[in-house]
Amino acid sequence: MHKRFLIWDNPKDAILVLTFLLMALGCINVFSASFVEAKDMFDNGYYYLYRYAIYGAIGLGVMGLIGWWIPYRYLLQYRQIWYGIFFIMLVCVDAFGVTNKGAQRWLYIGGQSIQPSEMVKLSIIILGAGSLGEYLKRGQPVSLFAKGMCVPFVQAAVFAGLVLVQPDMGTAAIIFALMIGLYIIAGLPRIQLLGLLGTAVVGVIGLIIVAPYRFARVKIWLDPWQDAGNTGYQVVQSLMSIGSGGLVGKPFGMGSGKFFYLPEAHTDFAFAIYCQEWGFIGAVLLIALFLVLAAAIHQIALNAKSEKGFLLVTGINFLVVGQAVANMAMVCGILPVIGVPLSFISYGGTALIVNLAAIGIVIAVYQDEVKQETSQQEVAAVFEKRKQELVGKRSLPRRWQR
Amino acid sequence: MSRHFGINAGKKRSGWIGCLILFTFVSVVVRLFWLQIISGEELAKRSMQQTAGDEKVFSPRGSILDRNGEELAVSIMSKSLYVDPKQMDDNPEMWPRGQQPQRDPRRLAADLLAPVLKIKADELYSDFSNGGRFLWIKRAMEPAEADAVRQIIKDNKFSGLHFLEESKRYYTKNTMAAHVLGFVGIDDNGLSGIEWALDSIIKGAETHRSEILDALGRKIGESSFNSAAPPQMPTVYLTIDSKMQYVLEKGLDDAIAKTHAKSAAVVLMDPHTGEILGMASRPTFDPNKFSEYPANALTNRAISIVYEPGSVFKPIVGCAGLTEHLVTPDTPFYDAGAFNVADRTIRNWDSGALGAITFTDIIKFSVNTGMADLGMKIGAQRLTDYTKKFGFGTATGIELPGEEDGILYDPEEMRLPDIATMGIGQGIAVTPLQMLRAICAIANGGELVKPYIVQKVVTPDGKVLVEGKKQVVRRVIGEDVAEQMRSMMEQVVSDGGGKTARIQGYKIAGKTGTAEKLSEQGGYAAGLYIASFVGFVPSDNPQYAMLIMLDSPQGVFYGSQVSAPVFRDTLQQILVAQGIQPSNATGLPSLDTLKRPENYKEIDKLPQVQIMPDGKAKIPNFAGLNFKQVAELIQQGRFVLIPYGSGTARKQSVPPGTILAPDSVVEVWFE
Repeated sequence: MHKRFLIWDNPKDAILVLTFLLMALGCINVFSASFVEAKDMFDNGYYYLYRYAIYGAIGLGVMGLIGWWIPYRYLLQYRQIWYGIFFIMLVCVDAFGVTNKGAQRWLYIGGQSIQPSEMVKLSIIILGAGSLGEYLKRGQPVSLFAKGMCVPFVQAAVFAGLVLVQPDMGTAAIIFALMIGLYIIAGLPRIQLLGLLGTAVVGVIGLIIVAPYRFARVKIWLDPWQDAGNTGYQVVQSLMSIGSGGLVGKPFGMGSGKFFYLPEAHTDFAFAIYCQEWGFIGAVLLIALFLVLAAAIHQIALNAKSEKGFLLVTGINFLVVGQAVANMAMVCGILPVIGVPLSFISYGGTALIVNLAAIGIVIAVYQDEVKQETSQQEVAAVFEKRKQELVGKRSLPRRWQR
Repeated sequence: MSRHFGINAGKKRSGWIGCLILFTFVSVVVRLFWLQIISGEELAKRSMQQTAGDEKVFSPRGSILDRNGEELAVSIMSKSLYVDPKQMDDNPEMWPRGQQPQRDPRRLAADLLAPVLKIKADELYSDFSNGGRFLWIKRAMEPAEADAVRQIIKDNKFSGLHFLEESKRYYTKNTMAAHVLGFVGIDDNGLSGIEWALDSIIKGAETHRSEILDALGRKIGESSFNSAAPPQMPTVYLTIDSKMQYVLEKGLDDAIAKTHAKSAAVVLMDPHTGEILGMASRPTFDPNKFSEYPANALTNRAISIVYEPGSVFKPIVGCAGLTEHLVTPDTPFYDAGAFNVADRTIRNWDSGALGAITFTDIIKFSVNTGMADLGMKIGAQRLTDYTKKFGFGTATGIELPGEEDGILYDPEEMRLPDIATMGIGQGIAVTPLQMLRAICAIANGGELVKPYIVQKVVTPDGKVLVEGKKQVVRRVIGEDVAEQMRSMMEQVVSDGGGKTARIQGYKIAGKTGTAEKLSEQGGYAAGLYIASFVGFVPSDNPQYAMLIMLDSPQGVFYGSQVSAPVFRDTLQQILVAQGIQPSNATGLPSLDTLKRPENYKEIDKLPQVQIMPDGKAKIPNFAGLNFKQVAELIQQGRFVLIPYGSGTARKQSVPPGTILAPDSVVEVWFE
């Protein structure tokens, strides 16, 4: 744990620095992507930037709380309570959530809108890590069909189902994927994995066939230009925005995508605006940041002795960095459009706080591991000292035995 | 513990998944490379294409003014509304989270805009629901209307409704000189009159302007490039004097009201230069809303219809006779009241017989028998030649569209009665302008001039593109003949059949005419006449020539009774407006003398005409003012002046301080 991480003393410092960097880029990008729309709608170009800053501050507070104060094992211990709370919240969203852009994802609480499905993603990790970590410790194979072991999976299925109702297929898929990912790491038998994949493929194909709009989405994914005016519009706008960025991007603020051309310019498609304004070089830089962040989190995971901690941190890596790459792939057209935001760069209050909380958990695990190791080392040192004393003591009598 | 199920195994597995994520990142990088480096330019171009708005910008149509610069037809840029129906779908981007209203934007827009645009809501709704990307909703809207529509669009955040600027034409004086000006269609194209004739010169210029637009069609920042303003169009100055035109139009309206004539035309011309000072036609229309009028109201009867001139044509025949030395002013003639030729009998207008008279009397009293006799003597060929020489049978070439050539007999096909009737002005068809121009040849000493109505066309930076000037077509008669005929025509007014045109103190020359009207079915329409009068003043050095024609006056129909009084009244107003004093016994001073400043008596303080809010005005005290000053004051109050005598004003019929409505008559005695 005390291993150095690149130029930093330890991974935790790296993660903090990277997080701040990402947030800084996020600030700039949110402002640039949103000021036109904000000016038009709210008469205030800084509207979204302002809110990003506020949510960011809250998130940093939560991160600090979790990272340095609340021991993370409490989170794990009470994970079923989380499950209960989020279950109720999702039901509330489905019952009387606020609709926006065709999906009912938000709840209005005290005048602010929150998006429970984002929080659910983190809770899945916590649930999975808490439950599966146990089995990993015991070295048991993790099967989907065993009585206790299937609980997290079922919980994930329930969440996914509630989210699917909104309708938000993308987030439902993410929830499933995260849980399955944890299962795989925990040691899901290959047969079951294959079986799952097969079911998933069949299920996806079935869903596509059943709902024509999903089929259209697939077609559009393969060639968005064929209906650039309508269903392919968002992807085409995204590709044009990205492409026009060239090597070094267009002058700040002049990316044309945000002038009402690219829908979701400051949220799901913020990466497109980023690419337009910072070019290929900027994009590669951002990807590098994410890669380094992933590496740092991975190092913490690898060095974790606690199974639950390991699962937790790895799961969070998937959540933060995995989602990031999924978003990027979608924005540049490699994947079909799924509603996944880009961590830290997209504007989204709940997601930002959740991501920062997740970072907080990683830090908490790290701190805990360091403490464990330190205390182990202390114990070992004391033991070693004692041993030396004893060895020394043995050597002492030799002198008078002669 | 099986190796497969421990934390270390788990860590290994997480490593594999990490590789998967790394692989995805790499593929993203590759894809970005493809998009940004390889296809970057092409995508940027496509992005540019959708953002660059190519706009057509128009400049307003060139103005048409009268000779003094008074505005007759002007253009301003006005807004036209069009819809892009596909774009009308509510864009969820436009609404703050969770606040998108449940609505049908097309229905709502149709309902809200219907009262403002004065178009039925259902019609608007079907326009909005149309396929396609462009449909005009309403063009050339009034500024207030456009602002109201703009506000509605903004308040309700409607997309898909846009404005373009188009040139809109305003005719500032409504119906005045409507036929001369013409009117303009919705695409800024002239459809008749000067608007048509000079369309290529004054039509608004079109330039292209490119700028970067956002997806709602609005300009991004200061991104207009190629934003050079389109060039301003040249201005047209007509020879028309709007003050005189006003008098002419009013005179026509009065005449029609009094006589219930079906239609009428009047032309006022400068006999020396050929400038048209005024031209009016009834029925008339308002070019601001020309589409509301039937086709016959749009016809310029001064040039586009033909009629048989009747006795007004006699001076022409007379000139022919004088030039051919067949008659002189004193040649005697015996008027028996009827003239027989072949199977026809020609009688005088009053069926009377004057007995032994001179040729001058024939002209004075419009004796048909004498003219028919003269006509026979001149003969078909010569008569037709002279007629053509005077410009009949061919359009005059004035800068207005729709001019008729007129109809003449082929001399070889003329039967004897035809020659006789031609002598009295029936059997040929002429336009009022042709008739007036021929009389002008007599008035100006024998030259046939080309009438013109465009004084000049000037570009905004002062360059003169077109300039009208006097053009002599040919010499028709000698000066002596002209003088003789002028003198005879003066006697028509002072002493003969045209006494009703007399204005005290002015030397007016003229000729009355009452012609039988042609019937649609052929032959003459029983009981329908064309009453006309042509004249010029002053008779010895004419400055103004005018012809007025009334079609089918009801009741009293003789030219001397219906047309001549109109001539008199309108001419009087014009002379008053121009400040031409009636002559005293010693003869009329020349116009140049009149216009010289030393002939004006300056008064320290000129009394003003007070205009009341309701349009009426207070009569000032005219005592001591000279003619021109009185005339000016009268004009301010829009009264009608009847002057007596010349010199300084001494007495007035209406006491000072009386409040009168416009067009009230005021008599002033000068000494």
